[in-house]
Amino acid sequence: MAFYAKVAEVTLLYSIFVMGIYLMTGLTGLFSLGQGAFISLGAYTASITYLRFGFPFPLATLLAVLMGVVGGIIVGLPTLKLRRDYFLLVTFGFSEMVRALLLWTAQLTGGALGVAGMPKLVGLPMIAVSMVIIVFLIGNLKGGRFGRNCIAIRDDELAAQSMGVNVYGHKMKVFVLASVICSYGGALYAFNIMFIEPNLFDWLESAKLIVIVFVGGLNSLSGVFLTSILYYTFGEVFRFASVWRDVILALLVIVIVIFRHRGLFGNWELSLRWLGILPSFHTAPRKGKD
Amino acid sequence: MALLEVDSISKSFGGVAAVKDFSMVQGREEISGIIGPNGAGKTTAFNLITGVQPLDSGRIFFDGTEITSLPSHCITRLGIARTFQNIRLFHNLNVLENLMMAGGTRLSYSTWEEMFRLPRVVSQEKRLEKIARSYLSYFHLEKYSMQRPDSLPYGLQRRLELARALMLEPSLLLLDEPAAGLNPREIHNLIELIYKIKEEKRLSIIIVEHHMELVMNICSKIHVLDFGLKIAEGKPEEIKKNPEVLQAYLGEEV
Repeated sequence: MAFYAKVAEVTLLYSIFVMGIYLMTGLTGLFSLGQGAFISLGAYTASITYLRFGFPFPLATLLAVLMGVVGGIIVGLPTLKLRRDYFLLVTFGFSEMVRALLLWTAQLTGGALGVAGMPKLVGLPMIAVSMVIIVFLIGNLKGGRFGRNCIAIRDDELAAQSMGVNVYGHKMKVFVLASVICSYGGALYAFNIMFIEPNLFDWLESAKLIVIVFVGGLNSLSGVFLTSILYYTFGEVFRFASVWRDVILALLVIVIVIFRHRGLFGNWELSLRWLGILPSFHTAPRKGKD
Repeated sequence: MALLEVDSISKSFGGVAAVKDFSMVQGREEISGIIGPNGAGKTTAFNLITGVQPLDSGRIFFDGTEITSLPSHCITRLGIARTFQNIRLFHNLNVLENLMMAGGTRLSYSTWEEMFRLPRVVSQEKRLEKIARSYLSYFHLEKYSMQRPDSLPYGLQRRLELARALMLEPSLLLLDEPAAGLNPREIHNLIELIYKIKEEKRLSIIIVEHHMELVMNICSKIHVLDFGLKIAEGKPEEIKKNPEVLQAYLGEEV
């Protein structure tokens, strides 16, 4: 039982990260290889302030979130006006920079040895509740003006600005929000896994999160959520075959790019109406057309 | 007072002057046209007015305020809407959502309220959807509301783009080659539609167009551009007889 609880914890932790990426890459079309760095920043901020400065856990988590806000603004301000490919490169650079910084400021961060010794303050209930709240918030954003503007920006920036959308400002909101989700998730991670090191969330990890979003489907929050759960549970339950997990993911990516470019779940959205319980959550339900 | 005043605007790309010292005055509830051969700078003129590209020199006033260096989305919010030569709809939003997206400026809730889907958000969204649906029926698109724009025939996509522009409640509408790719019957319908929306929504419209029948039919004033320079301005019948215009279109007399 404890094993499955552990699997659930890890799966949901990673799904929190995926949700941040969904908002940014899935809805808005911003490819960032730097989200892993925000996870690291959050995890380190929370751990160090807790261990070295004796801050209580809630305050340490709050500081991690603030770190996400500040980091998001600092990275976003100069980069979000760049073309998408350059944005990708700069965030990649940022990710490597944070990793190097964590390695080189060993006196504070423990360097390559990482940080250990955090008590396990975060359990399954807290992770699950965080997950539900984050999905709820993103689902709401997706169903309203915010989400429509995100998708419009992804489809056609010029047309979006001609419809009165402040494209730069909106991207900024999205980027900071995604960074906050990642750094918050990072703080939870640190106090659940109880060990962090600089190489845990490198750009490859960021890329993997993006791939999961693509496999799940850019327009389907529920699809991405399910894909993420499947991917991480598979890896934990079938540890012996965990190498195959990435092979399967890679194959899926190829198949999807060729045959189902809108992702496994297309535009399908799990709604209460779909379950037959309540009228639709969103004002404008989509037809599953592909 | 004029609605739009363009005061000798210029723009060059590299060494090529795309638009040079272009001026025009557009009154309220007036339809005027900008014509000229390919590459004459017509679309660039639109891009300059809507702030998509920055000006090199000159000034633009809209409704008494200077909009010369305003960012594009602010200009839109002041009341200038446009359509595009190559249709630019949002293909990952359905037809209804395309209109609701453009109606976003009518919503007053904040992102925070939206995150928690407060009652204010729900009621405003409902109202917006109702408005969007009324525009759909105005443009006879209601049965496509749940479809994606790229599944519609070309003519309907043009109409949808027009509907989307009107969702912004503009007082000035810029149409960039609205007749491109339409067959004669569709063009005929388009002319009637443009008249109708101009009368009912009390709009001022500027049309960039190649299709002479359309321009000569509905514009009360025409500006002719050639290599970025305005070579003529006047009523359709004057333009038809203007020797410089004929030369630009038909070439040098031998």
